[in-house]
Amino acid sequence: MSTGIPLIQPSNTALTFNATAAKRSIFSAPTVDLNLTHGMVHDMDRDQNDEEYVAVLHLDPSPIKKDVSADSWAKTNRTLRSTFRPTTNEIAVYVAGRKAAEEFPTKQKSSVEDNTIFLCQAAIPKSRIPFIEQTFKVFLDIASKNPYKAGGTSDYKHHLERYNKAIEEHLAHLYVESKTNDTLEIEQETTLMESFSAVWQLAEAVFLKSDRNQPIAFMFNEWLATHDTSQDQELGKTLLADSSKLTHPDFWSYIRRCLLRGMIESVIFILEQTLNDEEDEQVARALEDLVRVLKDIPSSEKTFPPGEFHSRHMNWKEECKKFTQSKHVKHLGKGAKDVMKVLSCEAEEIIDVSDCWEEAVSGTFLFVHPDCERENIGRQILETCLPPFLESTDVTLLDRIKIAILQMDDVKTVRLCGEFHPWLVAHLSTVLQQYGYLDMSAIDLQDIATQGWDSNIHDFFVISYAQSLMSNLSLWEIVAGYLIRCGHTGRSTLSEWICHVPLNSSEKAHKVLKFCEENDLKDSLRSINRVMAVEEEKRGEYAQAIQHFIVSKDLDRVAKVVDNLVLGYLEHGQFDLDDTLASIEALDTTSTHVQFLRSYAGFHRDYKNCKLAKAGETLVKLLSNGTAPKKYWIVLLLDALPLLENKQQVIFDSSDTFVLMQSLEELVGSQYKSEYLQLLPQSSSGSTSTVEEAQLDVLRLSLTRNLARSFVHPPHRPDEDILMA
Amino acid sequence: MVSFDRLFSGRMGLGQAATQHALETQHEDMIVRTVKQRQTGEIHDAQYDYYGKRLATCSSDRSIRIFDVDGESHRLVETLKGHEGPVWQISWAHPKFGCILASCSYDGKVFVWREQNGQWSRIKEHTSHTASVNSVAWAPHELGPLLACASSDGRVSILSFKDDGSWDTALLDAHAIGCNSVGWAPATVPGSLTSQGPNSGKGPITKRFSSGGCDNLVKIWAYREDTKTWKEEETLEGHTDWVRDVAWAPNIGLPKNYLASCSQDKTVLIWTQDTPSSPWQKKALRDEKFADVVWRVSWSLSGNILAVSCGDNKITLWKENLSGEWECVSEMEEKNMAGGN
Repeated sequence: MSTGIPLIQPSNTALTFNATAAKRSIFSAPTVDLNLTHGMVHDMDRDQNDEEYVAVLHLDPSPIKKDVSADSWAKTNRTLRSTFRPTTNEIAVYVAGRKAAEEFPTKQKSSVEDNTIFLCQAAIPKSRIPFIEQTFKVFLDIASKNPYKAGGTSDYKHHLERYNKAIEEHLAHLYVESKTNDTLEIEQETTLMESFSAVWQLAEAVFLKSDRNQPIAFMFNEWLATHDTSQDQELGKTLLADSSKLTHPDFWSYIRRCLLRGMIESVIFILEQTLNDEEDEQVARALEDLVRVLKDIPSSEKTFPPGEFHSRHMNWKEECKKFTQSKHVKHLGKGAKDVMKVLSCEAEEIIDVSDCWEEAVSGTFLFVHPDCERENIGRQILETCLPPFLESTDVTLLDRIKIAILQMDDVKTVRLCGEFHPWLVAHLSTVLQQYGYLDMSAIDLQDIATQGWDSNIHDFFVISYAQSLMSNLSLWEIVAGYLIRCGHTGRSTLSEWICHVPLNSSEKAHKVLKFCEENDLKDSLRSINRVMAVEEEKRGEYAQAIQHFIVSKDLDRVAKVVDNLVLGYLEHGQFDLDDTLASIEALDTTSTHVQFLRSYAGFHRDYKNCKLAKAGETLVKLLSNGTAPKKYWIVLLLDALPLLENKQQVIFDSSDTFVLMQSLEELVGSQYKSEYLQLLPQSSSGSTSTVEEAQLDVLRLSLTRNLARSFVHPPHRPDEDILMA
Repeated sequence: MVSFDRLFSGRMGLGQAATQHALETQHEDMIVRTVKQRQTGEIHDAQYDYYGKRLATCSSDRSIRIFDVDGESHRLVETLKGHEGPVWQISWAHPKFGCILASCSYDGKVFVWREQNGQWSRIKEHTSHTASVNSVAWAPHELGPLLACASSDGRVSILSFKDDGSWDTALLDAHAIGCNSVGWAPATVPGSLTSQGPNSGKGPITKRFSSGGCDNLVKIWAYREDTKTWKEEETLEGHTDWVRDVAWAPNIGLPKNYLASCSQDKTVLIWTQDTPSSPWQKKALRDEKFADVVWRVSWSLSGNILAVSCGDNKITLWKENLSGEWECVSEMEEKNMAGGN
């Protein structure tokens, strides 16, 4: 027996995945009842019942011991509280005291549970990261197109293919992963991706297909074969291997399901195999007739001239009718009764033998309305097929999404996708909107819109998706990339959020700052620079701190850093800031403190290099042109001492010396004298005032002596200073 | 481990299925230890720092504990002691002011702690209050280092840290019987971000906070630049029992002010105001009352999710839907409740 003939008609996607594991359906319709308390909606058109969709989560292990009731626990001054984690929207839940222990009449024993904080993290599975990155790139590409000019068929096909590819690749990875690592996470992720795939491809078939001539009936069958493999492949194999197929209890039910799902070729194959083994002539004849009828079914895949397909189908229906009413049929046994109902081509009969609404829709498409236009799906198919199932079975949110798509209700589709998952709604609405298939303004947002909400609904969905990614800070660039493309609301959110992104390394800090610069996030730029500067100042990285404070326009903080530097100099007697200055000099700043620091550092450099005249000139300038804040004057005057006392050369001429003397007098004659002299080096012994006066006397004496010398030996200003030994 | 529902646009618990792990704070009652009995050391507050990398907790054992939190790993880095009563609340200052934490206690004091070079020290003891200080909150960083403190003595104090290292204190008679909570308004005026762009740098700054008290009232306070004083701007009536907490939603592109208040009367009210001069509108978070006292309300950074901590041991997360209605998107409760305990 040949095993090369497919038992189902899988799509290319399914084949690619080679997902034949018996324990998991390839594209089974995912269930969404992972949270036990999820309610089901029994009416597809009724508004969602919010209460029913509340997800309930339990803290595990419970903070309440098993033998204690929640009520009695609460009476022991305990309750649960929570706090949000900025940046990531995670939540910390903890057992809290209602009142102070002192207020409580009886002391309660505490337990480990009382001191436990439950950190609830909305973690994104690691395996999903490549998918997130890949689909972000597609989003960027679409977002860069002008929505009113993009519209080309090739463009949207290209983008849809990229989305499909991303889903498929992620699914393929998950299937491989599940073979070695069959965890709940992988299982849930697989279910989620299968849902994405099902919704995405159905939406593509209904809303977006450029080739409108391709019948939706055929496309739906294709879609169902790909995404709902509840039809058991193993059973098909078993039946093929069975030498007495017709007597197998599941034979006809299998045939029925295959027919309803449009797997005609599979049915014909298995019937022919059965026929080969059949010895009873009457049964064989009936089987032959059945195969003939099935082979004659007009293919909805083919394109016919207008009206021709309809007449062909009507003829085939007649053929079916004759067959189902023929006397041979009874030889196929009672089990074939349901198959005859399918071949009756009557909607009610088909619905009656269908196991689920998708099967009913598929069967009705194929046997009743194979030429149904997309716009008529609701009227011709859904109105008939859905009610029996909505009354008797649970309809999940995913079902409602699929139904909304088949109804071609774009707004409802987007709303329901919004309930399902932020990725789905963000990207599906992007595609639908960008290519003109969705009018976002039709979605009701009146309460917010009238209050000046300056964003559209599409932004709302994309922002929601971006927020869902915030829990993984390694995705910050992607989060930022989505938010920046969401109008003012997105920018505002980003402007605050990006400030909370931890700057763990200078490389990351550089990236964040660069992003802010490139996207003109001025407030964020200022805020981040300010925080970085504070940290750098704490670490003693003064150059960087000044640089960042200047960018953040915190000139008062620049002044403080300069103070610290000067104080450091006074304390350690060293002023080696070449690196600091190299950075600072590149900055265009009006900060007088930075200007002072530059000149002052220049003085030290010249002094160190024995360019004494130049150093002296700088000092005088600092004092005379107001660059140096007055509190530093005393420091500058003390710095002048070695120059004043230089034996080989008179550095300051008489006018310079007058400037120095005048500066000194301005300090000591001021009512703020004590404040101005604060930076005078303090002595560890003796009273402050005595030490202070002694230092001032030294300074006065030196100035006076220099004045005399400058008259006798006016300094000449050679190009180069004399190198001092 | 449990599934953690996504909080965003979808609610099906798929995909974002996330994790929960526990952190033991090891708070315990200092006094009771001396008599060798384990006593209550309930945590009263837990707060993440600006980056969410540190978590501070405070407790009836009079201590504050600070943890480094990174993914599933967490490490106790410091225990701050000094309060002489249960520590009610803690608040992290914006990092531009340094690593600073404020705490308030049943002992009537507010402490401001600062970390420098890995060492924590107390840089301010605020002792102006004559009864338990129940709540502390740092103002938005745009307003400078301002700390609001709410006390059972009925007053709210505003501490402002000056450049010279000194502090100014303003004391306001807020709620006659006692004040339970303070919360600052976002510094930017609602709508200004959307009308002028988030980075125009010209958005008007407001200096306002709210307080909730035992007189069942929520009050709005605003700073008047002309008189350099704080003035009661509005009294919001709606609760029928003590107001336990007030929380102003961050203003991230939102078109209006959102203020949440919760109360002993088992309700949560959402107060909205279109502009700083518009009247406040109130709306109950849900039509029926909660099952017990609502102790705490807390907004997410993006301002669109509200966490409500109720005395029935449930944490519920609420989100405003597209139609402007508030809907509960998730509930968290202790495990045994599911079993009907």
